Amino acid sequence: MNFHFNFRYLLQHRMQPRSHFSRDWNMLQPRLTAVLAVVLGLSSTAQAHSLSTSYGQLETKTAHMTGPVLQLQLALSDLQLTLGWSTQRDLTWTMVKDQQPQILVYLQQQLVLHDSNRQSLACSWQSADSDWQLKQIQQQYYLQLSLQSNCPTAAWLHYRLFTQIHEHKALLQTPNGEQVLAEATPWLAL
Amino acid sequence: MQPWSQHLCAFAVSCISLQPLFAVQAMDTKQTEPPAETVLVMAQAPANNSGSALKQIATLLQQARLPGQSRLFQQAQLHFQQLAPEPSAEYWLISADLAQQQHQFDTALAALQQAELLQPQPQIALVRARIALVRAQPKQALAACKPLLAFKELFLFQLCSLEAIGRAGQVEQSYPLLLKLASQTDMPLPERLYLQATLAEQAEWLQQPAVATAHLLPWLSQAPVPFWIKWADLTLSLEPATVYQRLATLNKDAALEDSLLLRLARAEQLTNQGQHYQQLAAAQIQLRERRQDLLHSADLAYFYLHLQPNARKAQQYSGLNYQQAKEPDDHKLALQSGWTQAALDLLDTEEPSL
Repeated sequence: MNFHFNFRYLLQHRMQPRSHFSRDWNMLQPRLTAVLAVVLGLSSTAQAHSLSTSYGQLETKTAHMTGPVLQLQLALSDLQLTLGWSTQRDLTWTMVKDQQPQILVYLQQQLVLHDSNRQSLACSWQSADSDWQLKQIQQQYYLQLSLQSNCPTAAWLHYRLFTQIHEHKALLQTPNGEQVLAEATPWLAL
Repeated sequence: MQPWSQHLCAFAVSCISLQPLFAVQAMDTKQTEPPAETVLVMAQAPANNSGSALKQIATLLQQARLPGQSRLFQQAQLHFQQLAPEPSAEYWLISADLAQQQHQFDTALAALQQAELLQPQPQIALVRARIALVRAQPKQALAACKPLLAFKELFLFQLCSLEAIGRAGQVEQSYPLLLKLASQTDMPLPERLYLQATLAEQAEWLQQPAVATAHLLPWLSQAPVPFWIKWADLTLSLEPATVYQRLATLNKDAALEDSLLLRLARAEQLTNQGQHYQQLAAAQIQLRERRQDLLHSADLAYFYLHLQPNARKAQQYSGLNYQQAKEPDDHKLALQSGWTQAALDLLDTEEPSL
């Protein structure tokens, strides 16, 4: 590499102790972020942030069904962030169950069934209390629940769960194999 | 079959079609009926609510860089998205930081420009230099360091410049000067960490792995994830049991990031301590492949290079990684995976894809 650097230039600035280290914390704080960003960069490519992933299974064409059935596993940490639950308190199963109505409203809003022309349908999802269970996947706790729709004409599912979370994806098992849903690819043919 | 799969069958779902999913999740999947008050997601340390929203986001971003804390990055990003854009340098600096962490370097540079228009400050120079180094552009990095002088940030100017000079291949000259910088005892922790990490990198290039490790070890407990990764990589061949012990201890407090979990699994493999972390790592890598993520594929390359050798996949993922980041460790990973320099140069002209 053709790289010339005048070391004398660097040495002209004597490596002296810094007199301004006594700056107070408030002044130092913005520096911390930037300098840590630089330190991070020393091997930034090696670090992936924790991944936000939902799992699910979809069933659409079984006798006696009134519409699609969706079994979901949702990370509790994703629910906590998205639904605005305090992150300053430990999250327990009691607290999750207490939030059941809020969770259901959220699911109704973000999992929308559409007809074959991709017009949204006025359908609802039902979920029995007994279907709510806790599951552990890869050192993380998940809420597992079943959703039953009353929408036999549904042809598409529009998935918009956790879209605010960085790189969130859903891995859905369908009769046609596994589908990966994300903010950029939210449509699932039923 | 697990109880919840029986439950699915009750919905007349084809249990046969679900088998592949069970196979994938079987690594670490537990059906749990917890005591009502079992802690499922631990509370974060009390936030400093005294500052502005931007200050709190900056604090979250700092914490997110520590082992086991990367989920805070999502929280920081979520809070940032909820803010209306504001004409402050602090806002645009955070925006640049978020972008560079997602390898959106052009977006990060544009945000830095906005910040500079509003209030020139040393951080802008540091992040610009960082981005140039990730792109393997040491000349540009050196140029980016120069504005630090105008802010009378002599220490950071020297450190930033010496890192760039080392990356340009002049380690014999830069390393002794870095050692002189390190003789100062009075410096804030972040700057100390930056200095020690740069020293370790250059000592490694000078074929002094034990010295490189010694630069990192005293600061490990306060260091961010990349610092731990470098220490683990340097230590694995000589003292895998030490790596196993320290990373397993860390993992008890919070699930480690994939990059550290992979080093822990490698240490477990080298010391014949069972299969637990190797299975966790395998499931995590399988998840990354199922998600079809394009970012951070260095982890996948590492897995297929060291833990479950697969030359084709190691080469595929290290190449994909190199298209997005070209720091020395990325380069080394690509060469270890079978790439030649000529092939890597050609790869640069292509769009990343799986």
